[in-house]
Amino acid sequence: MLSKPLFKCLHEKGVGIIDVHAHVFLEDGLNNKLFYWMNIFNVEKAYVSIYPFDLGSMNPSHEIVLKGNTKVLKLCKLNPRLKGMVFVNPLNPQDIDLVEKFLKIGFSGIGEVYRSTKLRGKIAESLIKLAIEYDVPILIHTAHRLYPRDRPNENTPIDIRTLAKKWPRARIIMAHITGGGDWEYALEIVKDISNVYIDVGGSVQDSGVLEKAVELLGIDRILFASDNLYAQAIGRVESANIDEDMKIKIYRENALKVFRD
Amino acid sequence: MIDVLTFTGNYPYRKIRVGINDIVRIIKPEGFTDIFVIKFESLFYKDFNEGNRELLNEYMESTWRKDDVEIYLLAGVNPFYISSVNDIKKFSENFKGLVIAPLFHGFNLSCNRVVSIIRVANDVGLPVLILGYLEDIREMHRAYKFRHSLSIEKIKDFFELIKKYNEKPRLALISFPFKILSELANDINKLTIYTDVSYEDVYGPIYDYVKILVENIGEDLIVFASKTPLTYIKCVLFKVLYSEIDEYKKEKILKQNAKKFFDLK
Repeated sequence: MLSKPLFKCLHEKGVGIIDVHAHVFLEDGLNNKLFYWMNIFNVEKAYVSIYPFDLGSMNPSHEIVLKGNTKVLKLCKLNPRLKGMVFVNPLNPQDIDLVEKFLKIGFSGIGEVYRSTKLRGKIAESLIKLAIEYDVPILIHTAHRLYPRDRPNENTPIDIRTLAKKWPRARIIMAHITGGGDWEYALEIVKDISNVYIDVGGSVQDSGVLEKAVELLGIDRILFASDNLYAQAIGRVESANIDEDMKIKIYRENALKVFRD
Repeated sequence: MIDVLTFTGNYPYRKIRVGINDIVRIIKPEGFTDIFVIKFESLFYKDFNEGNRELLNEYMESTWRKDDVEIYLLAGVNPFYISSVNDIKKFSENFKGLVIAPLFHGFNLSCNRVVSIIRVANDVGLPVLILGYLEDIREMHRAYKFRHSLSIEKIKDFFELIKKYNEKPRLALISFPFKILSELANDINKLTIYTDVSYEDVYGPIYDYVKILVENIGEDLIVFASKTPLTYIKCVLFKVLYSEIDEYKKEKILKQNAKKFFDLK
């Protein structure tokens, strides 16, 4: 007899998974798909930002960013299981005010800060200060030492480490440790930085990643995320050779703490 | 269910060291009854045959038999590291199929010697699995450099060579990117080549690429390969189990097609 997956057991206990990194779309057909799969996989709540590729560019204009965030707001109002994250292009000076506006009306965090530029200097300062002031986490897209080489304008684990050390009061989520790249390196770089959390979203299916993350970071800094790839994301947690209590922390409890929910 | 590709041995780029018993321990609880195993070393030793010999020894010594699963051995073969293509025939004694790995053995797929090997293998009842990527290309060890790529053009050239022969060989493309499988869907279908959904960029829900492949290639030509222990098995399994395809199609992918491909009773 095959054992029942933990995500189904949680459903029977009346609780669900919390997804800290998912995206919604400008097109509602895809959003309906997302809701459908959230139900199948017992995802109780998802922290969502607009899907970056819906914005047409890695460097979208302020108007496009506003349009994307407005769509997220609309969807969150319609579906209370969605919690808004403010998408921001740090290269648009007006986006800083936009972030504050959306945090004021109840968005739960900043991000995913995507690939227009590395998050450094004055640009980073404004965003991080807002995150601290509003007591919300900031989710930063990160590429983890790609083969054969890193891409320009994309944050690396070193960038995340530098930022987190400079702003120890900020709660920084280093995105999708399993999103492609050298996750062993990424874990090593941020292991001793206690205000860096990792999300385990993305497409990479490598065995051992969660076990290694627990070993290096401890269980409390690991957050469940799908980045919209639920089969891989749930399969990763279900397969990992770690205790069930740890899996529950990853599936939901750690997110409740990081988002002060 | 049948898993057509798992590994034992040592993987050189991550801390992975497993034996057949470990594989059974991981896979059997998911409901698999038939498991195909290859030794990593047959892909990474220069003399691939040493790896195959190690696998045979391991098979004889391991205790998996009490676990009520069937283990079948796959031989890793470098077509350019044998003196005669007829040497392939001897593998039919102990192995259920061959695996060729152009990326890891460093040869060009689209050449006559490869096709000759496939023909000889098929003559003695050995299907051939062509292995694509073992892991997401973005996480390769930076010291590694592929001598030959597995581009769409190269694979098309290879298909042209295959088409020259009247008989369709039993062939599978395992762990190939979605883009390649999609672009080559027509040829894959015409040549009755099997494939799988284990590569990282073949997504499951909500971008149901498994469903798209079934629509493009057909449910009769997709088998299940987990690549355990490189991957978490449920990552690959859930892509199929939770795909929006009919249950009978899942059954074909997870079992019936592999039976046909390997000619299992």
